[in-house]
Amino acid sequence: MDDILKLFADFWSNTGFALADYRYIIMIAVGLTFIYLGIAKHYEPLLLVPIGFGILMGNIPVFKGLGLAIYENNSVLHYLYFGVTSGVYPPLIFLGIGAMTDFSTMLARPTLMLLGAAAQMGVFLTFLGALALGFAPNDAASIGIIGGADGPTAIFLSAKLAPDLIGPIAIAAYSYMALVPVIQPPIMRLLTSKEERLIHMEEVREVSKLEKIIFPIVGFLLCCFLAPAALPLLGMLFFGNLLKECVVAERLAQTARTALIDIVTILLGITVGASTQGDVFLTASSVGIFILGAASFGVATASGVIFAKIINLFSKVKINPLLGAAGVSAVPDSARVVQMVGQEEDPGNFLLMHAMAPNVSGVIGSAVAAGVLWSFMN
Amino acid sequence: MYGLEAISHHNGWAISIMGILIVFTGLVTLSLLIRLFPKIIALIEGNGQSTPQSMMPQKAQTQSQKQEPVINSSIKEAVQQYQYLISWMGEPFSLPRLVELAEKRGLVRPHATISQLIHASVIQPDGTGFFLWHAR
Repeated sequence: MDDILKLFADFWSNTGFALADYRYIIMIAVGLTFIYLGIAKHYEPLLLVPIGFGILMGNIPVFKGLGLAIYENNSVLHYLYFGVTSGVYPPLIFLGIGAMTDFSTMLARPTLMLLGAAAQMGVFLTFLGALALGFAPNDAASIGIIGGADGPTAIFLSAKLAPDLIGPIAIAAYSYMALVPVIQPPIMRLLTSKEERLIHMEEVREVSKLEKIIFPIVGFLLCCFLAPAALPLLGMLFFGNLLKECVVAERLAQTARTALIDIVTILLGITVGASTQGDVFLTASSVGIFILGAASFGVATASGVIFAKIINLFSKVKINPLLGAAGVSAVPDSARVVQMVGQEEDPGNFLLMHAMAPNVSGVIGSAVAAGVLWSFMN
Repeated sequence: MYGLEAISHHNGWAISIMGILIVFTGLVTLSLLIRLFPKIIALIEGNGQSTPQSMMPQKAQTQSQKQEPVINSSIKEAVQQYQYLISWMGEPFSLPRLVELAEKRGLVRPHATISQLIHASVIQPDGTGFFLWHAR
């Protein structure tokens, strides 16, 4: 009988119920919230559902030494997490994004690219904020890139500069990306008048196939000569786009924009979620990262909108300043938000197509910003 | 170390200013190059000088392929209403502006009507993103 009781006591001491503390419970609640937001509210479900479930997986308290937890060298999750820590997954996601992105609107109206550049102000202002709060320069640069609103870029830069902060930075970046429809509209309404929101955009010209094929090559060469550290991200982005536009490699483009990006998104979501193990994740610096991330997102949105208003001061053809909010690179959510806010004022105002121009240039801008920060920190 | 002292100590101001300048330089240069694409393509395709004429091959092509409008009784009234609006706006015109004016003047279901006019080739694209009126 004693043996049975001893065995049961040993077994019990190894169960999650005995090993759990309040930090795991908090993180499990966070994971459940992510899953709820993804499924019930449709906020970025393709990201929040895998990340949410990953958080649950990472916060099952396990006996250390069994090779189960993500931070144990010989665990399966650790091997999968290698794609994050080594920076392999983000460029593969960029390949898929390139293969599904149509740059036509941006090519037809390149002026709107400046809004994508302006929104990167959020990255650098948050970098300053993080330095002021006492973060080390490498950590501050990784936190700043959250303002680019680009999850893969944030993960990529964190993997290179601040591997210990990948979890909180990735969770903050993806959380705020999912909350674009909640965070951006109040800032957009605050910074624009009704008359400005009512501005209609002119039809754009038709872009030829040859222009679309030349663009990824010229864009890649220019951006990577300027910021070589952005090579892994921008190389894959433009390569994916070339596969799409050249037509003759349609099978490769199809794979990149469907199966490949889906597989990598699953692996990235699950492992990033699992990296938020309560005892490692719940620290004062994680809280600081979340606060700075929110500020970063707000500043990026505001910078884009304000810059669009500045352009209007000097331009004969007015642009709707709401488009500036799409300069953050949450594709295509921030463009959808621009359309939504514009149509609240005038249901006949169709801004979605025009908002895609700053939106995709924001992707390029945030990758260049990441490359610049990486090179400065080295 | 915290606050402005930390920013200065880690060279934060210079990094941020240079960072923003590089991002802007990259995207501004790219946008200028993109503006040149039509001219470069015209040269590649051997269209001679990149004159304004060669910049607008699509417009010329579109106009040469212009279709005859088909005005039946169901759109006759709409043609009269919209012809007045377009004579006021001038040509070429943009569709959002036309919708806006139609709504201001209280015309019923402007999107659907304009769609009918496009299908009937009364409104035709000019190849540069604007539209022309073809019912005279």
